[in-house]
Amino acid sequence: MSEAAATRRVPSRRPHATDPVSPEPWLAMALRMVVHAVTAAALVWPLAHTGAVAAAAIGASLGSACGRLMARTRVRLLAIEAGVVVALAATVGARELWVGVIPLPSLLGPAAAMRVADAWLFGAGAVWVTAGLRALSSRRPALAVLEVAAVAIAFAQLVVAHRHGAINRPFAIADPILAAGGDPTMAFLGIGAVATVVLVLLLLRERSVVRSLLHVAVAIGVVLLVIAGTRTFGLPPPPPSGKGLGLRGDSEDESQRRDRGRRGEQGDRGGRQRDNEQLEFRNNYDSSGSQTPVGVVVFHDDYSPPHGVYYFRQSAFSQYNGRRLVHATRDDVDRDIASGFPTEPRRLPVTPPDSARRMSVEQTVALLADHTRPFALAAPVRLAPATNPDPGRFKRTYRAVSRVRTSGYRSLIGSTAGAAAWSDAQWNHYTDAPDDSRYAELAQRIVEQKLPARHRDDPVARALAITSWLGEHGAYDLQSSHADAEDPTAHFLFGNKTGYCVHFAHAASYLMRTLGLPTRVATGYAVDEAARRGGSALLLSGRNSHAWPEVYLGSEGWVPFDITPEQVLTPPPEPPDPDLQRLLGELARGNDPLPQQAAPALPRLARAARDLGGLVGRIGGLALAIGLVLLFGIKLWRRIAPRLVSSRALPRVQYRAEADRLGEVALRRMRGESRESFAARVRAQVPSFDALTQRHVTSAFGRRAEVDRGELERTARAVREERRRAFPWWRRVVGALTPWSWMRTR
Amino acid sequence: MDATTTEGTDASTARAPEDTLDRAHQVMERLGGRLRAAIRGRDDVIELVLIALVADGHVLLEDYPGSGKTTLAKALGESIVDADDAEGSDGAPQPLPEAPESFNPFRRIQFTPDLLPSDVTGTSVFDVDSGTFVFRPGPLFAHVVLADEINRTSPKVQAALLEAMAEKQVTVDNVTHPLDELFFVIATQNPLDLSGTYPLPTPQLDRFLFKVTMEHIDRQSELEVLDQYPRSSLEHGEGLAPVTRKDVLRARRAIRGAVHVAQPLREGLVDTARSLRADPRVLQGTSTRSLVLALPALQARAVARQRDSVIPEDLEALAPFVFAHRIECAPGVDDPAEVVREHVSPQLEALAKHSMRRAT
Repeated sequence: MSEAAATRRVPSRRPHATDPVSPEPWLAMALRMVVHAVTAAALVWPLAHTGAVAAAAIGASLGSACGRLMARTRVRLLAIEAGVVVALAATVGARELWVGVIPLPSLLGPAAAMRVADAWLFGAGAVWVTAGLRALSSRRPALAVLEVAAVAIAFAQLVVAHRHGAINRPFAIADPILAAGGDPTMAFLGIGAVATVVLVLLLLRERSVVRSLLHVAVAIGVVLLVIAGTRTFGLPPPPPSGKGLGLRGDSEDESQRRDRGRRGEQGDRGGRQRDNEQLEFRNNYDSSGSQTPVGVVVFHDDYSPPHGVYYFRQSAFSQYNGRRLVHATRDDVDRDIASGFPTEPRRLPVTPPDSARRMSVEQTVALLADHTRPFALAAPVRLAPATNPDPGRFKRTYRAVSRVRTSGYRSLIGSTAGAAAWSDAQWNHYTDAPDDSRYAELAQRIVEQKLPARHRDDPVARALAITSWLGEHGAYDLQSSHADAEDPTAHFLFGNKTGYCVHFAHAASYLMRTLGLPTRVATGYAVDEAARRGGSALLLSGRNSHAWPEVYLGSEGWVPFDITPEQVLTPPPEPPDPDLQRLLGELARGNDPLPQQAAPALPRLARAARDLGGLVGRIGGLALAIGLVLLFGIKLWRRIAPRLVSSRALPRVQYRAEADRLGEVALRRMRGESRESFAARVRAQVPSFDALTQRHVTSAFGRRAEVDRGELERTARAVREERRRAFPWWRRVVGALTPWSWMRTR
Repeated sequence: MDATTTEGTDASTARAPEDTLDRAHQVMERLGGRLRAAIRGRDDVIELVLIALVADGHVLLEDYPGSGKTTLAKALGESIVDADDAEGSDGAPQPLPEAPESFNPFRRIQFTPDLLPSDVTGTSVFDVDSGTFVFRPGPLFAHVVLADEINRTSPKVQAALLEAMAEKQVTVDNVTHPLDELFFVIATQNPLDLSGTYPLPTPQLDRFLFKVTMEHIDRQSELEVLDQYPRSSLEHGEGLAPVTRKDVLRARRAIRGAVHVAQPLREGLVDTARSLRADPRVLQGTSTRSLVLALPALQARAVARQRDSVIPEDLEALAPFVFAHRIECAPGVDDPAEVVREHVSPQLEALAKHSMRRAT
C-alpha cells in the first residue's frame, strides 16, 4: 500500500449540525464582498442616485462580511433572520424619521435631505439584506441558491426592458450612450459579461462540485423560464384602446394608435359630445364624420316598431322661446325625459299610461361617444347601470326597459289630446306657438283639405294630416338657408319648404300647437328597422340623429308623429356595416367578437404549454394538499399510536412518539449515533429519555419480556414534562405545526 | 469453549438465568466498588478491566508512569480471595477447578531487556533431597499478573508470556504446567519513551482483548487522591467484601449462556470487522478471533450494566478498545480508534433502524 492510497481518504467526520461555521479564507471573503457590492449596485442603479448606489455597494460588502460572522456565532438561524427583518424595518423607519420628523430637511435643504435619506435607506438596507442572505447560505449550504438567484435577478431586472431588440431600452442606460453617439449594444454586452463574471466568482467559491452544478442549473433554469415565458405568453399587451379595430375614429393602424399624441387628438374628435344641442338650425349641416358610430343598442326582446322606425328618445324641446322650441325650464313638464345617466337602478318619475297597446322591451346601450343624457326606445320606464364590458372601447353602458308601442296610428283614433290632470300652465306650455297667423291658417287649411269632416276634430287624425301634408310638400336637404331668418321655421315652411328634420319637426309642432294639440320636438336617434338586419344589435351613428314631433295623447302618452319627406335631396344615410354592427353588439354583450382570424392566435404549442401549465398547477396543488394531509396524518398516527398498540410494540412506539416530539425541538439523533448515545447527549434537557431509550433498546435486542405499560407511560409523561420545561412554548408550537418533522426523526 | 452458546445449553443458566446474572452483576459490582475506592477518577478503565476479567480476556494499558496501574492490578488481585465459599457447590453441575496450592492472588513482573523466559514461566531446579528436577513456578502462576512495561523486554520473553496468555499453560522442559483458570494479565507499556524497546507486533497485540489508552485523571479526582494521601490507597477497599475466585469463574460461565445477543448485533459485529478489512486505510484487518473474544466482552458489559441482553451501545462503547489495536493502519492515520468508530457508525445506524422495525 502506498502513501497515496492512504491519503486518498482522509478521515473526515460529519460536522455537528450546531457546529459554528468554519472561518473563510480572506481572499474568498474579499471576492464575495466584491460580488455582493456589484450586485447591490446593479440592483439600486435604476432606482436611486449615484450616492445611494455607492452606499448600497459599500453596505452590501459590509453585509457580506457581517453575515458570515453572524453565521459563525451560536445564535440560531431563525433568530438571525428575525433580527435582519427587524433591522430592515428599523432602517425604513429611521429614513422616515429623518425626512419627516427630525429636521434634516431644514438643515440640508429638501433635495440634499432626500439624497442623504436614500443613501441611508439603500446602504443600510443592503447591509441587512446581504447579511441575511449570507448567514442563510453559510448555515444551510443548500440555500446558497438564494444568493445566486439574487445576483441573477439583480442583473436581469437591470436589462429587463432590453428585449425584443429594443436597443434603446432601458433608457437610463441607453440614452446617455446614444446621446454621446455611442452604441448601447456594447454596454449591454458589458453588463452581461459582468453578470457572468460575478456569477462565476460566486460559483467558484463552492467547494462542492455538486453544489456548483446545482447553481448553474438554477441559473440555466431561470434563463429558460424567461425565454419560455416570453415565447408562450408574449409581451404584456398594450393598454386597451380599442383592440385595434380602428372604431374610435378614423381608421388608424395599431402602431399609430399606440402613439400617445395621436390618441389625444383622436379623443378630441371621437369624444365629441353627442347631444341634441347640436340639432340647431344650420344652413349647412355638416355631416362629415357623422358615419362614426356613437353607440350600439342590444335588444333583449324582439320588437318591431309599428311604423318601421325605432325612435330612441334622448331629450325633448317643448318650450317656445320666441324663435324656436328649447328645453323646458319648468319642472312639471317633460318629466319622462331622463335627466342623467343611472348610477343605480331607478324608475323614471313619469311613465306612459299603461295600455294594452304597449309592451316592455329591454335594451343594453353601449355608448361609443360621450353623451350628456341616456337615450332609449320611447318611452323608457326603468334605467340601470350595466358593467362596461370593454372600458377601453365603450364610454358608458346602461340598461333600459321601455314600454314601446305595438300598434299603429289607426288604433289611436279617438284618443283625446293632453292629459286630464294638466294644469292650464302646462297646457299653455305645450301649445305655445309663434304669433304668426299664417301657422293657424295653414293648419286649418291642411285639416280641411286632408280630412273628411267627421275626423276633423280627432287629434290623431289632425296630427297625421299635418305630417302627411309636410311630407308631401317638403323636401329633405341638409343644405338650407333658413338659419339667419328671424323665424327659421316660418322661413322654411312658408318659403321653399326645403330643410332637414329640425325644420320639419318645428314646422309640424307649430302647426299642431295652433290646432290645440300638445306637441313637442323630441330629439335622439331614429333608425330604420331594416338596419337591424334581423340581428338584435343596432348600431347608431351620427347620421341617425333625428328630431321629430310628438303629440301627447291621453291614453298613450307622447306619441311620435314623424314626417317622411317625399322629396329627398340629400341621399339618406347608408345603413351601418352589418359586420361592424354585429361585432359591436357582441362587444357590448361582453363577448370577445374576434375569433381566430382577427387576433393572432396563440401557437398551438404555446396553448398546449399553457394548458399543461394549468394542469400541472392543479395537479401540483392537489398533490401538495394530499401530501400535507398525509404528512400530518402520519404525524398524528405516530403521536397517538402508543395508546392503541399492543404491549409488545409499546416500547418501540412510545419511544418513537417521544423521539418525534424531541425532533420537533431540534433534538435529533445524528446519522451513525446509537440511540443510547443520543439519549446521553440530550440527558441535560430531558433526563427521562434515557430510561425510555433503555426500555426500547432492550425490548428490541433483548429477550421477549413482559412490558410494564404503566411504568412506560409514566416515563413518557416525564419526558414530555421535561421537554415542556426545557423549551419555550413557541418552539414547541412551531415544531408541532411542521408537517415533516417526523420524517427527520431517525 | 462454548463462546457461541447463547441459550439453553447450560442447564444451570437455563434454570434461572436472572439469578445467575444477578450474582454475576453483584460480583462485578463488588469488585468495581473495591477498585473504585482504591483508584480515583478511573471508573472507565476499571469497568473495562472488569469486563475483560469476566470475559476471560487480557488488558493492555498504554500508560505513563505513576498513573495507578500497579495499584489497579494489585487491588484487583487482592480483591479476589482464594477462600472456598459455602455457595461454591450449590448447583453447579461441573465442579470448578481448584487452584493449585502455590498460587498467589497477585504477581507483578517488571520487564527488562535482560529478562529470560524462565524468569517468567518458572524453571526446573534439581532437588537435592529427592534427587529429581522439581518445577519451581514463575510469577505467571497467579490469579492476576501485572506485566509492567511489556515492550521493554526481548521478543523471546514476550512470546513466552503471550503463549501463557493464549493457552493458559506454560511449557518448561517439555512438561506442560497449567496455569490457574482465572489467569488474568494486565500488561502496560509506555507509548512515549520508545528508545530501546521492542514494540509488540500486531499479531501479538491480538492476544489482548482490550488495549486501553489512559488519560490523566481530572482535577477533582487528583484532589481526592491527595486527600487520601497518608493512608495507603489499598486500604480504602478494605471495608468492602472481596469476591472469591470461584465467584469470578462462575460469573464467566454465567454470561456466556444467559446474556442474549440478538442476531442483528452479531451481524453488526461481523460487518464492522468486514468493513474495516475493506477500508484502504487499514492494511491489516481484524482477526476472526477478535470477534470470538469480543462476544463475551459485549455480554460482560451488558451484565455490568445490569442487563440480560446486549444492546448497540455495548458495541459502540467496546469496539474501539477491541479493534483499534488489532488493525494495522497505513501511514498517515493517527488514530486507529477513530477509524474503528467510523466503521461502527454505519452499523449503529443499521441497528437503530432495526430497532424501529416491527417485531416479528
